[in-house]
Amino acid sequence: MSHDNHTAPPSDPALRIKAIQTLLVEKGKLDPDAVDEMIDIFQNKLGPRIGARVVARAWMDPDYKARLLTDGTAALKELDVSGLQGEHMHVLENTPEVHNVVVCTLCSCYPWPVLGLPPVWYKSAPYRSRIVMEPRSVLAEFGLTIGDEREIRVYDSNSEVRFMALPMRPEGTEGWSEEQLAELVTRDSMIGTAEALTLAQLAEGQS
Amino acid sequence: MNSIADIGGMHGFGPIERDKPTDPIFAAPWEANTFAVNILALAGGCFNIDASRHSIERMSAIDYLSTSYYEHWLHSLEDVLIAEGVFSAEEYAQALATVANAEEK
Amino acid sequence: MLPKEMVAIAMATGAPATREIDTPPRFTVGAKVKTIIHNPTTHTRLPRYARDKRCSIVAYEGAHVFPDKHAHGFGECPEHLYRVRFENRELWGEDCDGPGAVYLTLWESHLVTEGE
Repeated sequence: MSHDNHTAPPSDPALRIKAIQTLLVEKGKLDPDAVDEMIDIFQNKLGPRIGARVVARAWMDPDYKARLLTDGTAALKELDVSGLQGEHMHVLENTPEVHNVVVCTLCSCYPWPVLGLPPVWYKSAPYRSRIVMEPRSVLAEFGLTIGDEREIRVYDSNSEVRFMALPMRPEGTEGWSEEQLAELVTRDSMIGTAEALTLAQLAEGQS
Repeated sequence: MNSIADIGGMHGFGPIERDKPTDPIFAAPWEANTFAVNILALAGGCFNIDASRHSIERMSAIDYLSTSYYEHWLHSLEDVLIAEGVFSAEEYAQALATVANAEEK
Repeated sequence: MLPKEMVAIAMATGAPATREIDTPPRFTVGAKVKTIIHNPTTHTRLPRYARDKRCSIVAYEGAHVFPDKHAHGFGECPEHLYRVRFENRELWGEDCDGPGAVYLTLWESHLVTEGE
């Protein structure tokens, strides 16, 4: 099984991972029961609803928001949000002057504890290559137009530091509960390729 | 390394392919298993994350661009687990043959 | 080997990359610095688009495991890590698509003062 040649892998990926799993279990490096446990966490437990709750809390509580922007990791821990690929979190506030968007040009680094696993486009060549050099053009493809009166800051996650955008609170949401506010916070609004949903978009059933 | 993975600022990759809300986290069980085994092997000290990322960078550019994300992880697992001596290339070839035979039955 | 019953706690704990080191940080917030010119065949987390570019230090991230060395069996070799800001024009010239900046987190080995 040499990687020196450039031919396609000789086997079906399902066979390859089965062979690797079998060997790792034989060698005492892998608990076979741990595999499904791990899949369950990332398929069913972690996901953007966690980040949405954090954003809603920040919108409702200015003191919490200040702590979140000062020390993301510590403030997230207050809400029991922590873990792998989120050990060093920075939350980036979107404002009328600044729009933030996150990428990993080198691979696929993404803040798992707040957003779960990234969508395929985040890990793919078009986004990774283009967002650092033509963010306005990329965001326009997502339906988001950022005027020249705002600065776009692209955060390239090249270390273990992880980033998440804090979208601006939509108009007309005064008095809303945290649960209602969280419904407006989409995954893409925390990556920075969208704003939070407007009331009109929520009514249209967008997500 | 000036690898194909260091893709920031390259031209020619075209439009973003958006996902749908109904898209699953893992497109097939093998992807889920590849993800889980990778994290567990990392947690088990079989290799470090920097070595595994570099392994993906060392894929041929053609292979990198023509295979899927979790196929990259599979390549890295094979490469690094053998490089670290967790199992040998021969043991891996044997295990592959065994699972392939079991499939055929 | 991570057993099934430890998986959830391990995922909630993670694996912090910060370490304590003896030397003080070389750069202060606000400092104007430049990324190095290099061309290694080995692993580096300094992307090519950001080599030999002027940037400013916006924050200190602590000392972190250094991937450029860690990937190759040299051990963790932690170094001071800085969040730095590159103006769009510095990276892309007049071909940038509007006001903005790119931020990277770079290790001390990746940075020099201008004129070095």
